[in-house]
Amino acid sequence: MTYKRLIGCIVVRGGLAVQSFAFNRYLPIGKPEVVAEYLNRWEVDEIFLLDIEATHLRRAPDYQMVERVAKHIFTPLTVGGGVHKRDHIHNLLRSGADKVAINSAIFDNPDLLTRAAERYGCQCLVASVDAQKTNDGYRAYLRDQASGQHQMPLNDLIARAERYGAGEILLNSVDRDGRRCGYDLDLLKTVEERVSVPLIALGGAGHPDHIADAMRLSCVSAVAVGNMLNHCEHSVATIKDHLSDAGIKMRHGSHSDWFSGPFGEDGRLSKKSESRLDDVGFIKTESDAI
Amino acid sequence: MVTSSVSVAIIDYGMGNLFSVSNAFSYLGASVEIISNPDALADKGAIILPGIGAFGEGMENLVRRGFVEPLTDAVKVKKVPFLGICLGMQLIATRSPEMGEHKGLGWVKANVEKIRMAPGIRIPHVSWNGLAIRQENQLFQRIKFSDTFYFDHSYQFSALSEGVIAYTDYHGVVPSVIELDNIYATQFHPEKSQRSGLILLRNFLNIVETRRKLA
Repeated sequence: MTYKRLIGCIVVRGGLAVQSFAFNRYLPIGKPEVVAEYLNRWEVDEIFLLDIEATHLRRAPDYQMVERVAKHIFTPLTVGGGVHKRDHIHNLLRSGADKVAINSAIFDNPDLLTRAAERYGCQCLVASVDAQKTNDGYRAYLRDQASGQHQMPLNDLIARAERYGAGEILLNSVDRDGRRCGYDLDLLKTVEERVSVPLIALGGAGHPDHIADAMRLSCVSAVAVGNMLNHCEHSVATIKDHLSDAGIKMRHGSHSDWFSGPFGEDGRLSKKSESRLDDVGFIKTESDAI
Repeated sequence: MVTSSVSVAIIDYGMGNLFSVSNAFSYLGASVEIISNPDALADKGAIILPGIGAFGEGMENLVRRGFVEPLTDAVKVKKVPFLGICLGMQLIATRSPEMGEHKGLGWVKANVEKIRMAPGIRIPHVSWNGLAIRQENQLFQRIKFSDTFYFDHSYQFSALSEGVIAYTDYHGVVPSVIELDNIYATQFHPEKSQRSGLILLRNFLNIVETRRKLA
């Protein structure tokens, strides 16, 4: 029995984890390694660490940062941003990444995928694709290009990524980024027929129900969440509890029960009843030795 | 924090996530050495063959770095406890058809094959998934029915392989844990499977210590 994965997405800019809004505004969170450590403890299924300015600044991935992040986590780590050479992939894997995400190289150097797949296998390569709705249908969006230019229809880019060796597709909606209005389900359905590798949805989560809506699509293997996991204690665990209650089978690593209760319309946990809070103080939990 | 007196050799053959594997064993208190020279294999308590990568490239690297004979000698003759992870599991098979036909180390009678295609089945198999334990083993101590592990692979052991002690269901049977005397191997990544994975690695270290005491 497989589980749909809930992926924590750490967006990095200037060495700091940030919340991202519409690909153009950013709020700082703090050190990426601290964010990662929390996500790991809250039993996120996977972590994506995406450096969104490495390519723009024409610099190699920040391997030291990857090492610092990897040191604290025992969950799969995918690293993206600034990956343009096979050396980058090699060094990232040695620094603690388990998979590598490739974005702009799919446009200008797709052979990189093939050469990397020959050496590391397809399962290690994630094609990170940013999509935007235009009058001409969904188009692939390249962060580092003049605004308004879309070089390729989305489905062409996805077909290309798969053909050259990508083992997973991370599909990010530029329009929904930071909007908290839910995933672009039409976007996901648009690519459904074209994708044969696992598809990961990103962009727009503001409420656990949004995640549930995306997970219910059979074409979606995993849902990535960025902004929403921050500024909220145990966010991953409480969201997973909510998803389980909604009938979606989730992996629960520990044997805790968060009694999450209802989420409000704003996507935050509602306050528990006084009697519930009274009881919680008297529940004994066994320590969890490894 | 419990420590362990086991010295673990992690084979560096240019393939995969050495950092993650050594990080997990360090966390469990073992003394870890990453080894890129076969001469350094002597006197190690346990040998780990990690791996993220393609079969052909992995085997070629083992040959080029002169690992094949010293490893086979240590594991098959000296019976040093061995753990192969993911590609490190597949490499101990007889052969694999991943991007061309390749010979493996041949320590277990098993062939590697591509995960069976079917409508709606995603390949690679990337997911947390459970184990159907076929044969009890010290490796599974404190592992519960509900525990899950992280899988990420396009190829697998064929269902009728030798030494399978646990299977995993992915629209078909995927052998997920192998045990053959001192040889252990997992198709999943215990170093990336949080609590359940760390417990499994702890069990492996305990097995190493038990074997050493009996020797």
